[in-house]
Amino acid sequence: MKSYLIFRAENRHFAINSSYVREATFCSDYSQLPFAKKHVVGMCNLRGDIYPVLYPWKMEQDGDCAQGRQILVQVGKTNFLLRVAEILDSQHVEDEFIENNQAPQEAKMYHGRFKSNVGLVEILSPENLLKNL
Amino acid sequence: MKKVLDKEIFESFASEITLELETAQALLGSYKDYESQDLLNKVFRVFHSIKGASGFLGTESVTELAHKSENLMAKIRDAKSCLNDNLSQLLLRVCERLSSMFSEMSQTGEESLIPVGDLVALLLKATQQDFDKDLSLDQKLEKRENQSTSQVQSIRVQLGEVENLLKLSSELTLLKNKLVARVPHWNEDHILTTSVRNLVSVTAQIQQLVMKFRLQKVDQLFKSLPKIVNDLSDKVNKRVELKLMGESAELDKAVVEALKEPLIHLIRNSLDHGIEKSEVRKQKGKSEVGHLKLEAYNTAGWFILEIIDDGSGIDADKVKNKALEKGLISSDQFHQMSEDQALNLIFQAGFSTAETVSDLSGRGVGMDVVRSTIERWGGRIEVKTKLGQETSFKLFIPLTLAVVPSLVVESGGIKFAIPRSDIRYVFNKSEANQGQFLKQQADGYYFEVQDGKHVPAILLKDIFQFSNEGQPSEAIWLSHQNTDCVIVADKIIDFEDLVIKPINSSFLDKPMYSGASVLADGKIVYGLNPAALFEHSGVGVASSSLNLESSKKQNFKLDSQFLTFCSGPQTCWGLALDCIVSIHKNDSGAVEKVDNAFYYNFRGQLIPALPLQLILGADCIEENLRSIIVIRNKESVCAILVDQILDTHYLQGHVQPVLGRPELSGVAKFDSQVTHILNTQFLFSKLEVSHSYQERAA
Repeated sequence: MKSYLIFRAENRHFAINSSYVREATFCSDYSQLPFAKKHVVGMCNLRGDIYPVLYPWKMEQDGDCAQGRQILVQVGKTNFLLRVAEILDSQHVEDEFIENNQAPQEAKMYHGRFKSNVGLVEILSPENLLKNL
Repeated sequence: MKKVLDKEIFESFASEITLELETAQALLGSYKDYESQDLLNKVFRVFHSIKGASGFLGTESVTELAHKSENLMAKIRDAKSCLNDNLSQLLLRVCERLSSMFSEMSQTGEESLIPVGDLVALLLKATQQDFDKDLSLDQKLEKRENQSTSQVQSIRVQLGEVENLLKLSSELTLLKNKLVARVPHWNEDHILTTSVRNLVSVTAQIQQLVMKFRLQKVDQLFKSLPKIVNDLSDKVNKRVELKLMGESAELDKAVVEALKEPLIHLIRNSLDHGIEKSEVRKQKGKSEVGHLKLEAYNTAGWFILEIIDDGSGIDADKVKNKALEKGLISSDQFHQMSEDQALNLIFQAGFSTAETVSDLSGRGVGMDVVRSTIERWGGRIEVKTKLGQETSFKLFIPLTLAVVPSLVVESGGIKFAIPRSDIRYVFNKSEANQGQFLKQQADGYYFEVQDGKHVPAILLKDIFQFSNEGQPSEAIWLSHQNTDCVIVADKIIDFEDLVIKPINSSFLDKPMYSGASVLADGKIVYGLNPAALFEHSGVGVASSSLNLESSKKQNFKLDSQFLTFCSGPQTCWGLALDCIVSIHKNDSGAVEKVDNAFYYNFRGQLIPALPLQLILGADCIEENLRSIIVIRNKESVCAILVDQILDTHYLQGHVQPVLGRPELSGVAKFDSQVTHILNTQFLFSKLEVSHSYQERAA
């Protein structure tokens, strides 16, 4: 059984394995970063530490990226802030209830999906997100 | 069966033993010290330490090898004899074997099974021989014993803890910046103002002290070099004498480690391509033994390492030809390129091919890696050569890695920091007026930095593709790695000491930034990486300047020497010594006035002369012009008349640029005296204008 943090972005529901989550805060201002890779919208100062801000969804409405919440994600030694519109829930899910993504391993930003209390959610893979920047 | 080692005990000994082995190898690798009892004692101590540590670890083969080596050293020492080639080679083999064993153990976590029997037998045999007594060494031993009694007290601290302390002190600097930014609003509060001033001072002291913790003597880096040079010179069949100077110079521990690879690369290049074979050297009238000198020193917040060989030098023309052939430069650039610029081509990534090495008598392979490593630590590298005589590489690395003095500018609403060490001049708003000074050519923008002298310009809003309507109105003249360029931004914010933290490169498309920092208002500022910016914009090697040669940078950044003098009311002036030809007394009749133009008879030739005050725009001059300073640029010489020569000084910091003063390169402090550093190019332009006007009038 794994714990997932469920959030909303661009009117869709997603989940991230809680073991990657260091903290979730209100969005703070970020500074645009020219010459950054795709999905990297800028850099943000969080209590004196500077983190890249990632928004891996097609920006249909600017509000989700500029406002809302941010999740501090840690993958190995790499940290980044994931901008989301809203944090909805935290839920424990048995592996058997997760429907795996059949796409090639490297290509998939979401490695599966499950039915949560708020509906069907895609599970975001932070490793693959970083690989596919 | 292999014995599993206690990880904690092994780690506590392994790094120390590796260092001890490197020390022993370095000592044994330098033949000239064979007769030194100090060497015997040091090597003895190494084996003794290893024996003790391996006893704790329970690694029997290591203990046995160390014990037998220790016995041999003890016998030589007790017999008051000294090492010879055979013994030294044997002990070097022991060191290498022990290194291999420790390397294997650190990888596997188990006792090494590398056999040691052959070496143990050789050590036993060597121990049984008779050693001649060298009674003259008694006094040296006594001296050593006396020395050992006065040891400095110290404690061991984990590097991680020092790094945490450094991080905290960096945060403290940020907090200090925030507070300082607020103080003007509260400056009526005397206690607060005083407290903030004290905080500024204490923060700087803490920062310096913490940096000092991380500083390590460069001898750690030098230790392994004698052996490397010996091995390499054997391999290339050349005789090379290595001279190491300044082992006590200090550098950040992380940089010492990072510097090892580039340094070995430079040495390998020197031995392989620089220093000639004995027979060739003999034909050239040089000594048969080649010389390689490494000199390290600290000066004004910098660590400097010079690597000088007396080899064949680098042929700048050959380098240019090769660059042209490989398409790294155009034929226009080929013709306009100065020697310094041509030499810098060796640091281009495209130069690093095997073909280059075999065809050129210069350097090439991996030099781009050498430069990028130095630049990663905020440093730079300079190359100088005299064809057929010598080549020197000078590495400049900042001692303070955490705090970077910077100029913060803004473009498109984003703040960028430019390293102050790269800034040559900050133009004022009227000078930076685009229509007048900024010209667009087919290959990009150029900025007129002085009368008729243009350098390539980069408009930040173009580079970063900002769509702001406002006109960029600030221009900053940068000089980086012998490349000049003017950066045009929307706004200058301020000079600020920034704690630049690296940005993970996996988030960036191009390495345009040295890192990011937080300003006093909490906003992010990106540290610009001039090298990447130039490369992206096609400035430097890939771009020609209209007249770059004449606008070459004055070398006044680091250890430059200055002459100070006074002229006019209460003003101290300075001139870089390298542009001064001579200084003379202004005896009556030395300077002649012809049609309102002054001339000085310098070695039988009349050269233009003017009182400094007149050059700087004064209407009248005082009568006490007691000294004449003859200065030169690339093409000519001229003289300035000043009141009194004061002194010479080494620059102990940076020359700070001054806004709106074209006559000045900046200001610097010598013995607490603020000194205005004159811009020699400005002096020449004024003297030339003055005299050409007089000549036309005549």
